[in-house]
Amino acid sequence: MKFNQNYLISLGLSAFLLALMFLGPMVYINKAFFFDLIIFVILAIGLNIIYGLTGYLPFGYIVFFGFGAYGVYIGMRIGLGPAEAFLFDYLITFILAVVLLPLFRLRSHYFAIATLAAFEGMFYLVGSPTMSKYTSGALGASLVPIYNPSLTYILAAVFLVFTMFLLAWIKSSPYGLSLRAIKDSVISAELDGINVPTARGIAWIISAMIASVAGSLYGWYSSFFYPETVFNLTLGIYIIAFVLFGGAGTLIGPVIGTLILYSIYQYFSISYSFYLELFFGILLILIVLFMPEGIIGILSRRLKKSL
Amino acid sequence: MSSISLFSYAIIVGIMLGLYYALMGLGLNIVFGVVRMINVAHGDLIMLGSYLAYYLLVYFGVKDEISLIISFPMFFLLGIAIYFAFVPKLQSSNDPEMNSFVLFFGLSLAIEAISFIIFGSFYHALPSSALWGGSFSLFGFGTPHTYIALAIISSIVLFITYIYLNKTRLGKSVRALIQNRDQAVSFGINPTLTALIAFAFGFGVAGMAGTIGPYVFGSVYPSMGDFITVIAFTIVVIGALGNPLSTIIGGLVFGVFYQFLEVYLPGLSLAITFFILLAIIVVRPGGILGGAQREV
Repeated sequence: MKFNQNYLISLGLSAFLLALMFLGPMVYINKAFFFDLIIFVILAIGLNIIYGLTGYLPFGYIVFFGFGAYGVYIGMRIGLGPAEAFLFDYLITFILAVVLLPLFRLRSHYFAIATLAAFEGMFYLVGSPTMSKYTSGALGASLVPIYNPSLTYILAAVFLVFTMFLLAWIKSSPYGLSLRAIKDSVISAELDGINVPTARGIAWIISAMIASVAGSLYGWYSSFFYPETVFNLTLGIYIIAFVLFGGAGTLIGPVIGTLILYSIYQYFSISYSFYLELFFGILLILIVLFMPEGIIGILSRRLKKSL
Repeated sequence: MSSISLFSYAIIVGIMLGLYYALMGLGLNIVFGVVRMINVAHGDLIMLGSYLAYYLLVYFGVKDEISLIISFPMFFLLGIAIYFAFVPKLQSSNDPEMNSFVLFFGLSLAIEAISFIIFGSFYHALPSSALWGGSFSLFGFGTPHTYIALAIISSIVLFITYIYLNKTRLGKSVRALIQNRDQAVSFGINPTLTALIAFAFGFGVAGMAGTIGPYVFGSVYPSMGDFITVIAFTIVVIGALGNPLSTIIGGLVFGVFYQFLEVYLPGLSLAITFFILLAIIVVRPGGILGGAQREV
């Protein structure tokens, strides 16, 4: 029963998002608007895998996005071909995610600030003049030679569907069940023979790789970016708001949250970015105080009450 | 300019600024100690304190030492307001640690945005004449008198904090509460009042650190908060989390260490600082001088 339900929801959401992605540009000409939306949905799903299923919220999650974008550039800079550059990119993200694995032995708020430290460290490392031989530092990175927007657009769509089903699969599998057990009670999950660090570590690596692929697609699509464009902490916080607002841990929540808040984001980000930041700041406070389970949590409680 | 004099210069300046860094981390650690929450908006309080000093100087010609004294009661009251608005509700939630982190991050974003809207995105520097002015030669390197002022002011505030926590009844209750909450309560300590005053004191100290901050960071601008919070947290974990006075050691170690990075590896000093923070959190989450704080 549960098995079918998760896949059905993913199928429905994918169909809806694909329709939006390929029919939307006929109504609203700005294709980048839809591309960014898809990238944000992918990031929200990636964050949902680690936060929604383990309860660990990495505030510096966007570091993998930045890594994903810069890895390709660094790969090409050291003389790799385009395909190898992408492989190199995913390999170094994988290594970074593995290096950060010990963070899961920490309590959740130490984990949060540690990922923030990882983010800040990487941001300053990539932007540093010492590394400009590989990253071009503050001058920005250019992927113009391999620029191919229509291919990137299709790849983003494919990857979106992939992550959608990946989350559904995790939620339906015994592995997802063990993650839920850990979230409920670490001690009883351990007593049931679940290897807690491994289970969390797998979720962490999966969500890191998702952000990295999203970053590489984003970098490829925009073809020119600065360290602060992709290592953008504020953007990372917005993604957290998308997930929390929609409802962490559910399939629909992060997508709904992203769709609603992305519209507000686009509307204000052009000329009123300070007001946007104010809005998201207050929103985060209100979510914690009044709607910790997000929109989906509120809706499902209403639904249960009325039944 | 021999290498020995450069070395000595880095140590002396590191110690002077280190005393300031201790002051910068102090408020964060006091707040963490009493409510077990990481105040992510700590850096934004420092930013607001800097703006207070800047505007008092520009519009009223108030010297920095006076702004320092004005800032404490203002931030103390702000602390009381924030405490009542959020802390009781957070403490009764299902995951106070993570929820408080998210909430204070939201607060940090909101403060930063309001500062952008009110103050604009320009970088403002405080003239050194507002805090002692002039400079002297230290091992052949020109050093502003302001650094001496920073060291003296920070030492005074740290000393007052020491008196508060170790010599007064109220402060002793704070330490009892940090060490063992249940036992402290059973001995008749009012946990809410004690925590409230210490929380507000932490805010007050953060505001004071803010008023003299521009002399260390070079200028004041709305988005400086995030970065200062993470640096302040680095200083706190070099000492011990939840032990306010260990922050003095944290500040001094960080000050000297950072000064060396600035002198010998200027391009990578910030990146290395953050990676070291990461390493400390992983190896000793309670801080280098603190106990283990692990789960699982």
